Amino acid sequence: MSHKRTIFNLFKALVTVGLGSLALVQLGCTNFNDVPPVTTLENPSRSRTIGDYPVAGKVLAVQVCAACHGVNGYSNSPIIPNLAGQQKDYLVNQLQDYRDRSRSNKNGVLFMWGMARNLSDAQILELANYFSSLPAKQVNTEYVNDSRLARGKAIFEKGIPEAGVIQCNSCHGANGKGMATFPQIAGQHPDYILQQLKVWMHPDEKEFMEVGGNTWAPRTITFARPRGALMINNVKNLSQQDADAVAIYLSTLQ
Amino acid sequence: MPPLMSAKTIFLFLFGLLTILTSMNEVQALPLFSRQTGQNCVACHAGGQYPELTPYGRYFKLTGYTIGTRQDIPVSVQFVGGAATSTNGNNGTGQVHQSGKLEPNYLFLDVGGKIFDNFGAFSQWYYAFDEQISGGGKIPNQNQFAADVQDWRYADHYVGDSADTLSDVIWGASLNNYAGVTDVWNSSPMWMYPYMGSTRNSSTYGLPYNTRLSAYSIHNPGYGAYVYLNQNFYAEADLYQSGGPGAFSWMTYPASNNNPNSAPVYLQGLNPYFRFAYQSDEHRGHNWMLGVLGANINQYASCSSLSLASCGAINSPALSAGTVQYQDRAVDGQYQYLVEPHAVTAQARFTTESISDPNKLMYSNPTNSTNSFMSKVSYVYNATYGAAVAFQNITGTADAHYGTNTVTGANLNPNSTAWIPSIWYQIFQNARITYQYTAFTKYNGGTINYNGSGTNASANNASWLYLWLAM
Repeated sequence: MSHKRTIFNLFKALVTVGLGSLALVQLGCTNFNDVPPVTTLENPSRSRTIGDYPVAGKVLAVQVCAACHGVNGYSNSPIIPNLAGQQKDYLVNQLQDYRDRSRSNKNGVLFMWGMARNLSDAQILELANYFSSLPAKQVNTEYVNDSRLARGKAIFEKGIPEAGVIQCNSCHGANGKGMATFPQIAGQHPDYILQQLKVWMHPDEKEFMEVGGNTWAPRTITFARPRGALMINNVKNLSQQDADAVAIYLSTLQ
Repeated sequence: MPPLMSAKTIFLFLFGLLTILTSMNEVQALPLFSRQTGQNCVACHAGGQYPELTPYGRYFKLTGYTIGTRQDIPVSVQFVGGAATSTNGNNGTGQVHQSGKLEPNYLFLDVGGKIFDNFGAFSQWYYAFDEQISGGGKIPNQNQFAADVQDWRYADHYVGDSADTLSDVIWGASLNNYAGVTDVWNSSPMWMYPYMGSTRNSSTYGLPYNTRLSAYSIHNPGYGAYVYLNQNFYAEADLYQSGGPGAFSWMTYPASNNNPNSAPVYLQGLNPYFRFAYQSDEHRGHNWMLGVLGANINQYASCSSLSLASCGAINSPALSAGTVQYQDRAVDGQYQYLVEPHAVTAQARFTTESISDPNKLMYSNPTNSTNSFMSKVSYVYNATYGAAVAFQNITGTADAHYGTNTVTGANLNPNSTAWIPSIWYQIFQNARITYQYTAFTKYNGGTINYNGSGTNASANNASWLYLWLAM
């Protein structure tokens, strides 16, 4: 095959892709978002739609969120938080922060920015109601004999005064159940807790990355949780060893 | 092909693509499903190694690609290009273009995604640049668009009270065009490593022969239904039929009786494919699957392959000559450990196959059999740096179908063994550079001079350095 012929074929391919895409647009794909909110082809009681029309929060909870967080609010993956029994105000805040992209811990950026981007205030409230009303996870028995538990318990109850680490229970409650905007941390996955502590322990950590959705340009994301900024002073002097101990202890707390 | 299929051409080509994409009313530079969910690709793809699915990715597919927001422009494109070489410049299958030149391989067009609440599609089309993947002078779909994987799916998901025995039921139906394309595990025939091969050297795809139920093998319109109970027990059945002509001929486009480059696969009646699997719950980042699958395929020969007089157009089926009957049964399994920054995944599949060809349409024996074992293990760090190695092995009865020894005249057998290591660097979630090597320790039953012509198994080895881009 000649060089000219190759160029011609490339050109042909290019034109075909271009025209094909435009044809699809003209054929009505542009109007997908103008489909009336509920047509006979829509299924509002079992929909996984986010943004096309207002699906009830409870439906989204079981059809979309539950894929990772579990129908009962218990997640199977250690990097995904349990939401059962979480504080309602806290959940509202987090979903809003994912929606406006102010909470930028890494997995939040990768997974939650997209999920939250088209949620309405009403849906956020309904989702928070759903997960906060579920019974909290039963105590984690995997770490009952872990030698680090005592250290974790000490930090949770007494802090590390010499390092300026305040005891966790002063804000998160005696049993780690949290209150209002202070999250429940009892019964949480240690991996998830450690990821969050890391955001505050290393507040300058950033990564050059792409997110999802229509945000093409890769950019540097500084991992942050502004609403939890008061955690920075509390944990900046926490050693990784102590962070591990606290995370494991919290998972056993009920 | 002149030496200059070159950086300049590829650049022009990519520039053109970018122009088209950025002329749309909003920046549409990430693949379709990512735009629909707003999530990073790693949400659905294990360690970002496409097309391997995470637990959430399996859910996304089984619920019909319907999570998220419908897209105004449900289109994305992928490009694959690179340099393929073989150890001696001739991999023994009569292929050309193996000198390590930089060449474009594939352009993919993806459409679909979420269409309605219960209906979505994964519809992929491709353009193969100077495809040389089949030996013997037949060059399918060269330099024209063709239907790649199609999976048009209706799905619903019932969630009951967690106290119910059956608290979670996903069910659906699919119109698709490859047996196994509907599957969500990467030990299945259509979705197993290596995930990409060069158009210029079939060795990059692995074994020279495979079972009938394997990647891109049963390319026929099919329809079926599936159910997934408590996200543990999966069952599916599909029926596959001839590709065309007819209402479904678009699914095997551009294959037609008159297209000398692309023959439709003519099947007798409806041909069943089935799949059962048990998927474990995820526990501390680990999950595993164990399954069985199979297909019975009764296939006509084409007129051209039989050289029958007055049979019809070049690729029309020889309907009166009888069929070749394939019966494939497989057991497969998958393991995944997904806790960032680590992703460890492993898959294996063993397939036993019996081939009955009483009229000797494609084989010299009335019956043949093969056993094949395919496996792969991979590790990805931070969805950025990855390495994988595959082991593939097939054994079977000797038959003229697999060639003959040029000295003794004896029929060759398919017995071949391949190792396929690869390493990759995922620059962004939609750009990846991969180096992949295929090493044969056995080919057509031998390691040294397997065909009488002095060809060693290692002469078929191939390396491929390629770039993958998606927008």
